[in-house]
Amino acid sequence: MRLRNRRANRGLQVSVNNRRCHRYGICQAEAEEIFWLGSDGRLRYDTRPPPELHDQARMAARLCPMQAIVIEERIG
Amino acid sequence: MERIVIVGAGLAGLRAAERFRELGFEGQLVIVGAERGRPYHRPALSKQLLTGELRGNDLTLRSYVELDAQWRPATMARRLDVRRRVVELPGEEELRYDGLVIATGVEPRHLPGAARHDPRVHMLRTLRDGIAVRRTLTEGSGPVAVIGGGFTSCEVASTLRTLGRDVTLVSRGDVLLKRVFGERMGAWFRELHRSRGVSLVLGTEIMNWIPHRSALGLHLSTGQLLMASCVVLSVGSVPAVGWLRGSGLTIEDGVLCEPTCHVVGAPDVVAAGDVARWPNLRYGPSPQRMEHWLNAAEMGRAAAESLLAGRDFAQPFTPLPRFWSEQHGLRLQAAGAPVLGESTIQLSGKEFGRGVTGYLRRGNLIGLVGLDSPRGMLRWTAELGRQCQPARRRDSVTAGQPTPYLTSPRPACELEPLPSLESAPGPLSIRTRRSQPRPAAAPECRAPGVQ
Repeated sequence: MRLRNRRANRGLQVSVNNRRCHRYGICQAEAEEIFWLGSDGRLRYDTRPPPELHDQARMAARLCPMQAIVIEERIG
Repeated sequence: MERIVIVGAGLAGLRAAERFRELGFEGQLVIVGAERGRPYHRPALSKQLLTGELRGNDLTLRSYVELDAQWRPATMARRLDVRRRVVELPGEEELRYDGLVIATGVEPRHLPGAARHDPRVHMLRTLRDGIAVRRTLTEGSGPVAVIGGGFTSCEVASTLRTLGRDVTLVSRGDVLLKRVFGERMGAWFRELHRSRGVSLVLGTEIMNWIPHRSALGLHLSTGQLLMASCVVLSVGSVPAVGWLRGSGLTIEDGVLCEPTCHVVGAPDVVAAGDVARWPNLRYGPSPQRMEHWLNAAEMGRAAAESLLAGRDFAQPFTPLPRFWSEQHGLRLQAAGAPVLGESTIQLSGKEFGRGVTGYLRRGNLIGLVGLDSPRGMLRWTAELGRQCQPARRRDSVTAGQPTPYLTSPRPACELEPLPSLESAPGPLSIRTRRSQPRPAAAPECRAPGVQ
């Protein structure tokens, strides 16, 4: 079985739709180096996580209860 | 494997498909779904779709890899032949597979005697159902009856109150959400709904359905006659296994699977999501179904991994269950198996209204319920995961280690007094917090060296 390596050398842009997000914090459980739920109730996040965290970013987006995380893959 | 067929185009099926591609499967991927459209975000049906905040198109689930799949929408699988490796489709079409994922989910349970064909009576399972409920709701402003005492019913009742509608919830049980949270917390939810203006008629059955032109009458076992211009029926669900009759698979209460998601008695077949009954070795050897959204996503991926790995090399799927709900502006989160708890302990927060409650069994933490406490849940879910480890395959299931905070002096595991509802934040509290400006991705968060 040949492995696909489609995502090599790609950047990834993370954003969160403020109106959808209800701050359940599942994203932080999935990717604690990208998402942080602060004691002030705010969610902070890294918009350009490094490649080694891309899988975690996608997992956070998949499991977001509000489907509020937008992941854009960009070449270069 | 040349061709993998996924029957069921919901969350579990989609996430399985993604995982096949991520793992490098380059063969044909066929996704057969009973509904017309692509997979969508079902949890929004009882909330944002009903309020109109989101529309049908907003709910489409994204794939995060190129799926390159062949979609067969509006197609009900009719039969499965595991010996010939064939899924039979309508029109006597036979779809051969090398690997198969069963992810057909559940169907709403019917209530015997209900006026199912009355256009004002709705189930709420599919996007189509959701759109139909919304249409009936917007056609008038009359009272609404919600039948059932589970998550969907509670969420619908709550959504209707935020829309300012008169709503009556009718349930056979004496409390709400009892199957998930047990009697005590169920009673607390009953009071929450009552305090937010939901009329509750509990411990009650519907004796007769009396359709009138202007409204639908429900004759209740209390003797009451309830008039409603819209009825939402949500009295549980049953696994969608009709198409598997005669296949030789064990389909009582879902498709019976091994700990790895492999279906018992069929080669190269796995199951995932609400339809699958498998032993989660974290909780012991008895196979269970789990109707939770996060589980469907995680199990879809696990089933795909198991199918490609093969029976001998696949890993058991041992998730720590996590689920959430939102009712009357209150975020409810749970982890583990609170319903197995024998006593509770307050882990964070001074009142029940905001904080994390731990559920204990034989002195060990077995489940968590958090109310408006996502940070507390993050912390305690990690702790629960450490304490409640899965048994290794073929090991006898052993009890977890004693919890550190329960070693001497042992705190009383007495039932905590129920919190007063006054401590529950009002529906506005979340909105207030949400409206605060939030920095989108502070620049200092950026990882060094990444553009």
